[in-house]
Amino acid sequence: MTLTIHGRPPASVAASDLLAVSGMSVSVPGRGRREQLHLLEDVTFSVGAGRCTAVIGESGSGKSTLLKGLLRTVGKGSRTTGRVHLDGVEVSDLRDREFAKLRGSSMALVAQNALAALDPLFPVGGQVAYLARRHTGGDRAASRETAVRLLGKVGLPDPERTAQRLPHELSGGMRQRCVLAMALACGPRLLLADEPTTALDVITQANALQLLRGLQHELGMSMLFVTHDIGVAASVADDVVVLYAGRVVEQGPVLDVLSSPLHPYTQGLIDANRPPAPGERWRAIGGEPPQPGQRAGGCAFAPRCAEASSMSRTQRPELVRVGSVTVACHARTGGAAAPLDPPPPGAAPT
Amino acid sequence: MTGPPILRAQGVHKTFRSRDRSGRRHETAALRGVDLEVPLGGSLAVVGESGSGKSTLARILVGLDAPDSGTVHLDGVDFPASTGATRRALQRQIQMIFQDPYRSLNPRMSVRSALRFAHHAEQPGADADEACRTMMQLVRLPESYLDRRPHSLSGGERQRVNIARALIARPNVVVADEAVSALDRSVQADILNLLADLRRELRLTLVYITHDVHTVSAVCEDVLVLHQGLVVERGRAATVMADPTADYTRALVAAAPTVDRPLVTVRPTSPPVAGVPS
Repeated sequence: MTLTIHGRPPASVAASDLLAVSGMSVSVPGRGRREQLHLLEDVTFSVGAGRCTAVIGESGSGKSTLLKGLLRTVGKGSRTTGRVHLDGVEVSDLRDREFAKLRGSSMALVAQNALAALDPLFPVGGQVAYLARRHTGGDRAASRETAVRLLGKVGLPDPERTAQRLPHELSGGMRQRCVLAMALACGPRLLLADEPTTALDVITQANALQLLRGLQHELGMSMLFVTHDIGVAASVADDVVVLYAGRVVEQGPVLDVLSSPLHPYTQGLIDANRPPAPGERWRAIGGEPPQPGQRAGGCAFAPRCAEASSMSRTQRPELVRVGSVTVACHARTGGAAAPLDPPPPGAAPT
Repeated sequence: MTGPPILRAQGVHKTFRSRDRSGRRHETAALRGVDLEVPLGGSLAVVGESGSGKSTLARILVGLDAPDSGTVHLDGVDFPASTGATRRALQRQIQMIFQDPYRSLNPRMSVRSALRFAHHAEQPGADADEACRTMMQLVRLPESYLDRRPHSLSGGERQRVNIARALIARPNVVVADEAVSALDRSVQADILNLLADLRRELRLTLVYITHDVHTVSAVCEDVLVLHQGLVVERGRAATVMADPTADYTRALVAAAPTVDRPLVTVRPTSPPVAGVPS
């Protein structure tokens, strides 16, 4: 039996999913009149309660746009469509004013560039306190106490004193912890992390990842973790979504996807991450991902793919469930006609 | 070791002085006595985290900064101490590939102008157009790209232009300061293959400055690990990376997650593993 997921809204949102996104598309105005650039197309995935889903892909694949689409911060003139269920409640129909209340309390962002996310003119403690006050009310003294507690929670030494420091007085790792404290200020159920450790040194990164995962479990949060580093994804995530040119090409449990990738793109990403033996060549994917607006019909990966068939160039592959993962590739699923593994009994559409 | 050292640094010290908001003087010792040697045609990776002094070392090696004490010998001549024509001739021999492909090219200059500028600075009078075309072939970019500006190029293409700009002076030694760090791994692989090809074709000596322990043994024969301005470990790259002896190197290698060896300590359900300091 073939279960086609493409384009179909989930019949019911699985009770265990904290976030369920179905058919999300994001487009922004292009240069020409009426031209719309499609940054994300028909993205469907979910994040289980208490779980971490990593979103991987090259630059320009739409990873960050996905987070912006979820937070409704894509920008002027953009269009976001599709259904988003958060904690069982559909939030895609909310008016902007209603939706704004979700930011911080239901879902919070940990930005990539901690230096840019912090105001250089104010002590970091005040910035955390402001957010706590803004979202949960309470007086200044209470929010200040909350801030110091949070700064301690993210592992900053001497939080009382650190709270009074300006961002530039802190190291990169400490700043990233402050940004994390800001994200935690209103007790979000879902943490959206946009390459939170990319700017950090490797040892600092290992500590930050450990901290993120620890807090996630302690506070019972779910996490959507955007990264281009497959090693990081393999370290933090339970599930993984592979994006290419604004579409999901493969998704499933992280161990299954990374140990036996089905999509040639996922395989290519993994190969490019494996250093060759000294003197041998790196296995590059070759070529670069298409720009939005220059994506041809058929499979967007076809021009870079060794396994592309004439079908790949003309017909877009749909996401098809194969065992525990779903994949969009003609070469793997042989079109819709080929026999496929049945989905596990009771499996909810992702 | 394949030959006599073309690049040799001995006892390089560098201290930066600054003042804080209250006017107090601060001294930051970036390099505290670094020795290194690269044989002609060899390759040395300098690995370290931010603040280890690796970029300061790169700048001193190519002559952009002068060491406070210590010497840098390029082709047997004390490079920082040289002046005039000797200095210019030496400068041509060692070139740098800069880190950030988005900021190291002048956005208002076409690729051609960027290359011509470097060409003129290093060998005025020679046929620049011919050299530009040769360089584009060398870095596998179409000649038509000569008339494009950086904003219309992808990160990988910009870094190819950066490499062409470094090579147009026909150097013997190239210092690549985090030359692929800003790129996606898939593009990194392409650029590292190109660097390997160019090393072979042009018999280049490579100094590869990086924080990315995971690429080291595939790119370089030798490695030097820098921590707070001191060399904590050096040796053959394959040996050091597979079996580091210094505690710091061990922590560095253990903290770098790969797809085949994720950070198990990050999973709260797994037992902690020694090596990653918390």
